[in-house]
Amino acid sequence: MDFYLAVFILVLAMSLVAGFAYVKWRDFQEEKKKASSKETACEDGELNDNKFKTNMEEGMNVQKLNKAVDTLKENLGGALLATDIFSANDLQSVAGFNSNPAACAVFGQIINSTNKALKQSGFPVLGRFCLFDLAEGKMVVLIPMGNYIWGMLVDAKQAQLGLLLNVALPQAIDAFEDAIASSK
Amino acid sequence: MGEKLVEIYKIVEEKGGSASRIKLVEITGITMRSAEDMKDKPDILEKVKDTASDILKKDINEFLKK
Repeated sequence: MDFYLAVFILVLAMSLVAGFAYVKWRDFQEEKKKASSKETACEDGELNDNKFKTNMEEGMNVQKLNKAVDTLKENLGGALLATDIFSANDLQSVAGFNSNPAACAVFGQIINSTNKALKQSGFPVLGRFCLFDLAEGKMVVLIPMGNYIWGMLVDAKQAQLGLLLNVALPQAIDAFEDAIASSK
Repeated sequence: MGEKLVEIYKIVEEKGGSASRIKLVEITGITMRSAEDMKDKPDILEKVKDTASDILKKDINEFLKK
């Protein structure tokens, strides 16, 4: 009888230990899962950027952004075929001229993945702009501006490169800065 | 004219690109154009220097002309 009682107590104790260990293991797995998802979000800058994006876009001065687009139009005239200032997070246009949502989405991905590739390679990030020389005398210029990207399609036959790089782009960036500063 | 302020903006743009320059404007609320018209007040200069160092993750004083 004592033997059966001892076995019963032993089985009971083992069940308790196993149950306790299972609860601990489950808690540990949940903690690990939470930590890893937080880490991934931080690495991609999503956590901070998304929070920031919401704050910025709610108070973004769209009128000033349109003014920045007008400044670019004035400087480039007929050479500016299309332009968009779009969010680097959701790739949606916030201001533009002859807007092209598909181009915003694709070129936004190009800028984001290029910056990621540069970072992973240990190279410096993109500088002032990114220029694509296209066939048919066209150019695509992309300006990475943190939470925003400014993209434009330019007719290279109508606009001199010097005018574009030394006058139009710096003035466009200045105008964008005004919009950002007035949104604060 | 805020010569030092403008110099900081130019360094930030050179070392960190347009994105870093815009980030500096977002945080300080001072555009590069308005920095040109401002005087180099010590308190503002320190604030902009600190922010620029945070953005570049390097001490901005290393790059400034003496």
